[in-house]
Amino acid sequence: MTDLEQQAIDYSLGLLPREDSKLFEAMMKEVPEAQQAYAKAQDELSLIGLTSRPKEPSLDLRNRVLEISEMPSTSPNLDFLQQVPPMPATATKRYNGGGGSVDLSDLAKIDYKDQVNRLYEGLLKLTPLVAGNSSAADGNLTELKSNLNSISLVFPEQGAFSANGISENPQQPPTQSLLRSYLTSLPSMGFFIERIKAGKGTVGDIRRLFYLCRDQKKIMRASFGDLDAARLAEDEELRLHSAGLLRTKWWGAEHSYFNDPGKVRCGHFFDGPVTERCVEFAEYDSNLYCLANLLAAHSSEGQFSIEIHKDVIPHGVLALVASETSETSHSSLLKAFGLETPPNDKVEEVNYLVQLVMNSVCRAHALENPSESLSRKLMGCDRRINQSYLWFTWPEITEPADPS
Amino acid sequence: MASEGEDLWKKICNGDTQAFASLYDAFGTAMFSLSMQILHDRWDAEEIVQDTFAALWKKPTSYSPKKGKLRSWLLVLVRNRSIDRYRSRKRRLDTGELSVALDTHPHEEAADGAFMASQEDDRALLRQSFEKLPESQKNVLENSFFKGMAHSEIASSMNLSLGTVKSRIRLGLQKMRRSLPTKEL
Repeated sequence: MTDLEQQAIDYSLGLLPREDSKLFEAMMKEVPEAQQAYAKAQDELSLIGLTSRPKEPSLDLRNRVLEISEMPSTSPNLDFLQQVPPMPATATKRYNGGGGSVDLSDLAKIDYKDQVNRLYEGLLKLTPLVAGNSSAADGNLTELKSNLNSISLVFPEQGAFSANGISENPQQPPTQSLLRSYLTSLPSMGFFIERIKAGKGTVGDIRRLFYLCRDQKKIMRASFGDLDAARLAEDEELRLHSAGLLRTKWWGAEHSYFNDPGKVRCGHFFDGPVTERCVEFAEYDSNLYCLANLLAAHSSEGQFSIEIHKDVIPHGVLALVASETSETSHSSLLKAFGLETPPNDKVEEVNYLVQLVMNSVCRAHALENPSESLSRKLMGCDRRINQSYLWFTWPEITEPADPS
Repeated sequence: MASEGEDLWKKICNGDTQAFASLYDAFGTAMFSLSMQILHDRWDAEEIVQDTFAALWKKPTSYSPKKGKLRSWLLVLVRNRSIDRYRSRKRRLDTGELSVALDTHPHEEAADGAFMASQEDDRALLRQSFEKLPESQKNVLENSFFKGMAHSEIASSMNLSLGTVKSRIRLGLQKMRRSLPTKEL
């Protein structure tokens, strides 16, 4: 074996130092023998790969992969966003997330504090039962189903917060943390758990439940600083999160806001980071869940799309959720956003979802008042032809922060 | 003569969705099995396979027949992405949630027994060939390919010289190539 062949093997295995890799790549363009050595190394190494124990991928994976080629090649017409002014330059330092965090002791009603604790503990128990190495992931749901009955997971019923009212001021940070914990990813979790309990769950549902469970825990840790301080410290470390993570998670997913399920289709997702830390990603996720929840109930085709753009608004990242809706449904959305008529005295849960995004966008852009999120069009609701568009913007990452 | 993979690739370059489906049906299981062998986590392995196909569809010219067979290129790509994911998980071990995924594989052998039985093909012969390699070569290849260990790490952990590690990898690969069935896989 020649040195060239050894180099080709090492390059293929990712073992060459960066400079040597560049040299080898340059050589492959000029020297046919280098190219042949690379092709030979690929073929030989793939033989080792083929000795892997056969594992059957789920049908769900095939469906998701094939959807990739069905994605529309053109982006929607976003001309209504042309009027959006450049991102406000009020922040001296990029927002790191967790700005809405409170302590559990800040919750006035002791019931809420216990509920939050119990819910989080239940989620910790649920995680290994739906993880990628669980028996449920392999299609055996028996263990999961028997455990679901013993895990204390209490899901709110739709309207629970608006019907009973919340004793605290909804705009106060503790109440916002509570609402963020209960109205973002949790309703969809409840939907899938009920389906599994009813014996109708699929492997695809288990996968979705795993992602929801993971997100829900992060959202709760980002909302209550003393809920799990050790893991929160981990969440606060510098770790770039790409838009691709969102695409992978949402691609072909079924999502439900209580009993309003919708199929998610992913459009354009730019290549690059969206957030710098888990705790910031949790807040970004939370906003996306809010928009998805708002639209899930109004889609006339039972599906909605998600896109993440970096080139539409200068210095900002745009998250867009869109769906075909009826005029009545769009009118309801405008009311939720307070854009059509002044909000009623009685605040509905959909208003809370909008408020959560408003407050988060306000923090991210260091605005003086949450209402500026809407007035500056940093988030909003609009309609073109028969499509409703909900969006929020987030400060772009220009240069990743220094880990030190 | 171009292989099946290259023919499909040419069609995918022209946006042929049927060819994309055929490519998944031809190589998807091998790619998923490889990722599972490294990660032991179905969700992670599904992500790797999904993202690899998405990357190919988005930019099919990232591959060219000059880089070897399409299947070989895809498998090495999946291997490298899986190793990256494995290392990233290892770095976050102290979160507690990840140690389970890395250290225990309770359903690894039993779950796909029926599926394995249906895979009595040339890949089974390859597996047999791999099993027949001397332990010394097999261990080095496993540590390098499936665990992503650097040559120096393998040398240190197995108390070998760097040269011995490299020569065992080379010999192992040569033997595997010689064990190829006459019919192209």
